[in-house]
Amino acid sequence: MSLELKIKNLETDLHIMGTLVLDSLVSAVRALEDKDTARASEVMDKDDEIDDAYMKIDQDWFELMATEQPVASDLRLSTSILQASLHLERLGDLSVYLGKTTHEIHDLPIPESLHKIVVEMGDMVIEMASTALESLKNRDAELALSTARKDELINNLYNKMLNEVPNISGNKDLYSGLFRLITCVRTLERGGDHAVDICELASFLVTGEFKEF
Amino acid sequence: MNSNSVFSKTKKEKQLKELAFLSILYICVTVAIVTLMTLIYDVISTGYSRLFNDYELGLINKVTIDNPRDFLTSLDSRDPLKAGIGPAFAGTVWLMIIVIFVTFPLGAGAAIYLQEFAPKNKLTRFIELNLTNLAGVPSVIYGLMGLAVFVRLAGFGRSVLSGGLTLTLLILPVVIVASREALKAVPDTIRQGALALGSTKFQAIFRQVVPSAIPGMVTGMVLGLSRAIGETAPLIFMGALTYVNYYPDTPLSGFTAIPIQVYNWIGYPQAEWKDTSSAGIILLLGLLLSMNALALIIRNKFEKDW
Amino acid sequence: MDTKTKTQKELEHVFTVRDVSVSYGDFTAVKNVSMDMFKNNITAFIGPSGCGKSTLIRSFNRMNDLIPNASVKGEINYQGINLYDEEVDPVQVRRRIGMVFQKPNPFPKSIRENITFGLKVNNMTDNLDDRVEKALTQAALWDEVKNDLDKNALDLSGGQQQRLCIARTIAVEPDTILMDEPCSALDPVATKKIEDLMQILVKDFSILIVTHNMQQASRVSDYCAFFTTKATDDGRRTGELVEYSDTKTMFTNPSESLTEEYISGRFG
Repeated sequence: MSLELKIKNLETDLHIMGTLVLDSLVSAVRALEDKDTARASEVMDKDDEIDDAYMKIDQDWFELMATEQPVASDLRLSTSILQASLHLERLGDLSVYLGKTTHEIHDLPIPESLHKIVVEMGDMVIEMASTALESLKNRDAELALSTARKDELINNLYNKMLNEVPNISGNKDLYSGLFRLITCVRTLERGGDHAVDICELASFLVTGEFKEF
Repeated sequence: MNSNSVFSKTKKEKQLKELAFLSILYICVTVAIVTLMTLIYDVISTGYSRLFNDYELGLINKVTIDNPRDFLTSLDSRDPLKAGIGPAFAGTVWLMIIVIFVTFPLGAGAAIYLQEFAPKNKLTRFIELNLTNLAGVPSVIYGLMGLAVFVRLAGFGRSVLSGGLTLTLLILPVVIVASREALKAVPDTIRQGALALGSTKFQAIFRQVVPSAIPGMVTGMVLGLSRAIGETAPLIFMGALTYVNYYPDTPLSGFTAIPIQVYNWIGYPQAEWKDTSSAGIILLLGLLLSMNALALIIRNKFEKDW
Repeated sequence: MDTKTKTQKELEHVFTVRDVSVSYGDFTAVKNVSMDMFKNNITAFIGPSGCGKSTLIRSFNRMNDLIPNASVKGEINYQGINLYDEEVDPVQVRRRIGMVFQKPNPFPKSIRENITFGLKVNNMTDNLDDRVEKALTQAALWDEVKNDLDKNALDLSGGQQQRLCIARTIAVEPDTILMDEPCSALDPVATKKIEDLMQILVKDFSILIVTHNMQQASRVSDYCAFFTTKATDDGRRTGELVEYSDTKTMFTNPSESLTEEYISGRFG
């Protein structure tokens, strides 16, 4: 198999993994929205698939380095693919966390306003991850930049949530649910960061320079 | 940095030395060429008339001599103006034919054996050493050997066959060495490439190595031949006749050769013989030149850039 | 990237080497080599100069017979037959096991005659033109020379000459091709062409390649054998097999530290 083909396969594997991760994120956020524990369990089981996909990319990259010693654009591409797969794997873990949270809040009373914010944030992470992967696939630097900028919106939602908290501060029954939702939000924020990292990789592939967004 | 002083100091010294050296070389070349040109001019100017002009001889019995035809075809004669080189020419041709037919197979065969098949042991090295030595042995010795072996022992008598075989012995070492060099020049990778395809050693050698070496072998042959036709001493020793007035008709008949004929003519006192001998020399030089030119042509046409 | 679906045990052996040592007179060039080579795979011999890889590969088609004081001890079995058995004809061995040399060595004849020579000495003279075309096509040279078959082979470029040598080798339909540093005299573009060609040829032939270029071995081969020299009692150096494994393992996680050092360029 030629070097070109090997790298092409590596990229294809990345996008297959991307699809798995995006599906998983969508299911996880919808399950959280509907408090659907069955669906949440499905998401958590599927994480093994995502991990296997990651392991394959990791091993194939390793073998590629050892046997082909790629340089220049081949090196940038293959290494970017490896790093992107790591971020995807973390996004996969995020879905699992959302699933766990769904289980936990299933029987707990939670402040609905915050529930909505969390779901909104989840949808935003899905969109960011999706467009980040697209920008990587199409080598679209502008899309990468505009996606990275959306991280600000996540920050805004986070602040919105902080503003809501005092409104329910008196109601002690909601504290457990509140706690879980807040930790969920921190995790989602990190998910947004991973999406931004993928955008940085996309920009790197296009410009050859690594810039922090 | 003053580049002038750094570089110019030694330049002039070197230039002078080079100039002096070149001048010496030029003088050497000039001496050689001038000598050669003088000799050639001398020969051509004396022999030209005898070879290319037509004569009328005799007051009563008019004989017309149309040169060069008559010179080339007439028999020898007491009259310097009538003497022709015919039989000598024929003798030389006979000798050449015999030498070619005997030397080439023997020389090529020996070279192929020594280069490709002989085991590398003391005996082979002994033979190789002696071959080189034989090439330097004075040709007179070959004449004596020819006399003993071909004329007497084999019973061929003083025939053109004996002469040809004697000349063969003379040039065989040279031909073998030249053929060996031609074979050596074929890179070993060719032999290996042929063998790696599943050919036998014989197939590899006779279908790849020898064909590639043929031009070199032929050139060696031609050069050896051009030496042979100029040889006088060995032929005289083994008994070539000096006054011959017939053409040799069989390999066993008596003969003479151009160099011998010329040698003979030079010995006569009359002044006109000088022209006749010069004419003979022109013919011999012409033959030699053609053969060397032929060798050059062959070599240039078939030379391989390995 | 290609996961081999068969394990080593299931792969068919083409060469089985048992305790082989090759010597020139009293000098042992390489000793105690034991390994199995597999059919339709590319096996590479790597190692520093003088470690006997060329000597060893040349004993696989009995080319060492040409060197007067060369001797081979041990067993080299080819598809079950001991190559050095008395009844084995070395000429036949060389037909079944072809060889491509380091410096391209086409015969100084036409392109066509280069290929027909091997066919003629092996009595494969039916459909000569078809056989010539097939060999040149398999060697990825046909399109470049199809209109110039009578041109002198020495007029071709180095890379083309080497492909011609490959063509004439495969024309006589061997099972195995031995390649002794086939690309070391070629430029990178020509080298890549030959490496690509090898990947295609390996479907029909087993290939054994000696290379001093480690990157080439890692790119091209399925199995790798690493040799090195060790000092012997009389002060000379003899070659030895250090490690033999599949290429992926050898270049990602070799078992011997010597292998690791050589591959990472720390010696040799």
